[in-house]
Amino acid sequence: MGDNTITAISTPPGVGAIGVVRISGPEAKDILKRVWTSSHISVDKCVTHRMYYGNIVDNIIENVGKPQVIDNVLAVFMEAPNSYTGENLVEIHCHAGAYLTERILNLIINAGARPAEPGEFTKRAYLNNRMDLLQCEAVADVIGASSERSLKLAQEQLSGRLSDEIAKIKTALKEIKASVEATIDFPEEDIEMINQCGIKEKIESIRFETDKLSSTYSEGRLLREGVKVVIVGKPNVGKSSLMNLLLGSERVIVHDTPGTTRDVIEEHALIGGISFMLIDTAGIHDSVCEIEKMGIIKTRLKLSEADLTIVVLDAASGVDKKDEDVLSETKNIPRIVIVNKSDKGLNVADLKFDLKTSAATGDGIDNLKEMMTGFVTKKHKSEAGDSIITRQRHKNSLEKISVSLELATKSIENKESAEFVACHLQNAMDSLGELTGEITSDDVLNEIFSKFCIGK
Amino acid sequence: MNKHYNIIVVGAGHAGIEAALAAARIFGRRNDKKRVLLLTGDLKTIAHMSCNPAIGGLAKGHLVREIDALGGEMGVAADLTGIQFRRLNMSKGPAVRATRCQSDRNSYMKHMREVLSKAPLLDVKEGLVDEILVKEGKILGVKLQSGAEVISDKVIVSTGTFLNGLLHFGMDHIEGGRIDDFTSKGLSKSLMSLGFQLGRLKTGTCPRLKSKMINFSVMNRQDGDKEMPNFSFRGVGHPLPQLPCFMTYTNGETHEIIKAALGRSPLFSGKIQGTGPRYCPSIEDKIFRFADKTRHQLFIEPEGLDIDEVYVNGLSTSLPKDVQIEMVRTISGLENAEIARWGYAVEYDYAPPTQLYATLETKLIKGLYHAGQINGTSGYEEAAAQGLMVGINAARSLIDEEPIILSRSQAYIGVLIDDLVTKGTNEPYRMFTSRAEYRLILREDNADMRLSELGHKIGLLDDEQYERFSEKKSTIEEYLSELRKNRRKRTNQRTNEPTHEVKEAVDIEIKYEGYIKMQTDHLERLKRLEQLKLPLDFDYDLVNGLSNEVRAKLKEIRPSTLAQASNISGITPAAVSILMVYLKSGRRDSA
Repeated sequence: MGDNTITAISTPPGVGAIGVVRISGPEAKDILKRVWTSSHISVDKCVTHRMYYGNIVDNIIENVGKPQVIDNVLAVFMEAPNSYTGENLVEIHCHAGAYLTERILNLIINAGARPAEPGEFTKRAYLNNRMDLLQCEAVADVIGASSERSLKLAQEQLSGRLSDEIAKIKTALKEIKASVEATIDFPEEDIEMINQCGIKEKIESIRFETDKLSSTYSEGRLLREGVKVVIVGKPNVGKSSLMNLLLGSERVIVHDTPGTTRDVIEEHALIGGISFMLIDTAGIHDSVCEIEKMGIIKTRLKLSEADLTIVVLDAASGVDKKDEDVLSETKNIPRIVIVNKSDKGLNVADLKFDLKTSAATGDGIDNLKEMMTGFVTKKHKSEAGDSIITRQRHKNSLEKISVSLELATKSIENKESAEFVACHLQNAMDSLGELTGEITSDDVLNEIFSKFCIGK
Repeated sequence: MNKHYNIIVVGAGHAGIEAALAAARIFGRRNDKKRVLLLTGDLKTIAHMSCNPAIGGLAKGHLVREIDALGGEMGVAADLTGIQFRRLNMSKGPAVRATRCQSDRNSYMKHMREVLSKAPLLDVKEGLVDEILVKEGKILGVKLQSGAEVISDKVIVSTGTFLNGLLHFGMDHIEGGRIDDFTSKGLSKSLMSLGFQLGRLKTGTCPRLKSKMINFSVMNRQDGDKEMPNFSFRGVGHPLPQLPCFMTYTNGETHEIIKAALGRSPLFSGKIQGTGPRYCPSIEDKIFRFADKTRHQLFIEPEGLDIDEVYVNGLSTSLPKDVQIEMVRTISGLENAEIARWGYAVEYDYAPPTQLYATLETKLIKGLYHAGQINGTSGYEEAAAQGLMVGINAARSLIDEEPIILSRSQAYIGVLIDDLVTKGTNEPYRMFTSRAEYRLILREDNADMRLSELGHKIGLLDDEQYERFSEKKSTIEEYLSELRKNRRKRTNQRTNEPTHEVKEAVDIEIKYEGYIKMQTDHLERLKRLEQLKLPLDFDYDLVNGLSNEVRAKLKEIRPSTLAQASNISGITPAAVSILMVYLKSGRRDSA
């Protein structure tokens, strides 16, 4: 028999109250018998999905001389197919000592299981059709969620919301393709020609839906990955003070001397349920100081990766050359232009700015937060309840679908024969299949599952 | 009849004929001393067309051209005995244009009888096979109803609808594989006792009318194409006079009569067990399912030059006889029609084709092959295609040659057989262009380009025909490369003006280039998968990461290549990837 039963520690490494060790595969139950006993029930009599109290016992005489109880644990056996992986699945809930959990894991391996690879449990769930690929990705997203909104998005995707929407598109496409095929394979029946039964309109309507879904990526990506916000401005305009206000804590050192912030400081802020990575920078200005020059190079690097930049100017002291340098360096990046220290006056002539703030009084900070969340959510016109896609892979597939559907429409307009329309429709359906993982390739699977932790 | 043959073909229908001829011809060209026996229950009904007296149509025409390109007989027979020829879908692209003909039923049978009698190394005898003789999992021969035993190295069963055939006329039924014909009960029993699973299917036929009493003047006349298309690449011509078809419709009155009689239809009363073909529904089916259609199209097809009968295509039925005559007489033009042959449904045993390898050899008994309607297909063309491949493979296995398995990217025949043995079928399987992923490549016009080289290599395509093919091929290639070099100059200064056929072929090639390139990735992947062989005794338990369901399917079908595996229903692409990795790594991971 091949080594088909896998095991891993599913809780984070280190010390804790409870550790969970999972065993999945056809031998799960037998392996449980070899490592676990209970004084009041035998494994065979255990009811599926019920937890039982018992002991992990080391039966290996070479190790310990005589059978030794390693830990008191709770064990549960979940019978296929009603388990996470769709196979027989055992979970052992033990005390999470760093040494102890490893010891239990090794016992299980000796009893016949193989160490699982990263994401292998979830991969089996996918292979056993418990989840499709979108849902698998959502599992990783739920675990990795760092904000309210990204968690919500992940949960929706995990529940199959996006999968359902894809399924609807697939059904619609299938119907259209069937009509097209009928005009090919049944020429003697009086079936209406393509042009008459509104097939072109139907295809265009599907394309509209897929394009709409595709456009949600700009928002979805930011929700999932978090927004990289780079705060720039000449020295001493109050960038660090503003950042502290956004963070709601005193993380950054604030001094009056220009050039205090030597390093690039990155902090994670939760604003409006969305994850922002705030990046405070050294100013961009000519400096002879080597350390400052390094800081400026770093700033430029961060700007090139930024999703959004906040340009801060001093409201009272007006716009000077250094400010203009900053403005011109950032003009091609989405930005919010702020004049800070507005409590000290407003002297910026005809500069177009977005917001007046005063870090000292807290004035305008709430507006700033609104603008930042608005930057994410106003990216496309979605109604509440629309699905949102969160990965480049999704966007790529949807773009391919759009191209195929456009080609199909052109085929119809050019009065090309039905088999060409059918060809484009088939390509669109193949790309749809890539989304949910019905059609997939090795590299895509590896790409997805290797990013999971071991034990997931 | 001798006591010993090398190949016995049981059943002289469209599958059996191609099988017997292919094997005999392959042996013949090698001056072999091997002999083929073709057994039929009734010599008078060899090559009988059980329902529609027509050959070809969408996807079916494609099959016939492929059969011809490989060296089979159906294309020639159809051309020589056709009384109307048409090309369908002319308003559409070349990949979905198909050739179709009406045949003179008697001439077709006569032609086949003559060809069979002329074939060397082939004996055609009358005899009903009752039992398949087997020894230690290997074929031994057959036993006839008469008690006589004939020993053979290979046996091909191509018995069509004759296994436990039941004919239904309304609520009456009689035994038979076809009207006025016998049935074979012993053979079903024999197959089951060998361990084969059998299922039940049904199909229907339309009534035939006497031409005399029909008023053709009120119907739409449909003539064949002025420029008569050919099935065969051999240019045998169309010697018979041509006849028109006529078109008429059912009407509200017809539908009322049928609706009132549904209770007396064995279909609806559940009397018939078998599953019928969805796309060739009976008229009662059509009325029921498409209730809001006010009329259904009917084609009145001539049965032959000297036959005073017509076939009413579109009126397949198993309604009782009194209902049949009543409903026919409500149809425009048929008010005074007289029934020459009643319509009926036939119910029969079939052997699910997942019990076969891609060579169509059975997995249970070495040397036993199944071909034709016994595998659950419907249609003469589908049967003939299988017969051809079975004949070729049975013969080749006797001369130590590798079997020929056509790829899905190579021929509709490949699609047909792969679908049958990999996916199986629960209803009568009919070929459609939509079944072919590479439809744009598998065209009628390039069947010879795809297959004639192979046909010659295996010894079926004779030298003369191969010469003609080679010349055509090189002309096309020359012309094509010239055009590519001088893109604008369509008029060229060649000494020989290329034929219309060549010009058309090149035209199509160029038009389709873009689309074919699109399919190239797919094709490459398919070819890679086809090259990864899976040994028959492959242990799927050794491969990590396959679900139990996938394992079970793989063990049941035992695909011979990874390509075939990927087509099994329920096998996910992920599972295919896993198998691929496993095969490439040479099993080093099964610690």
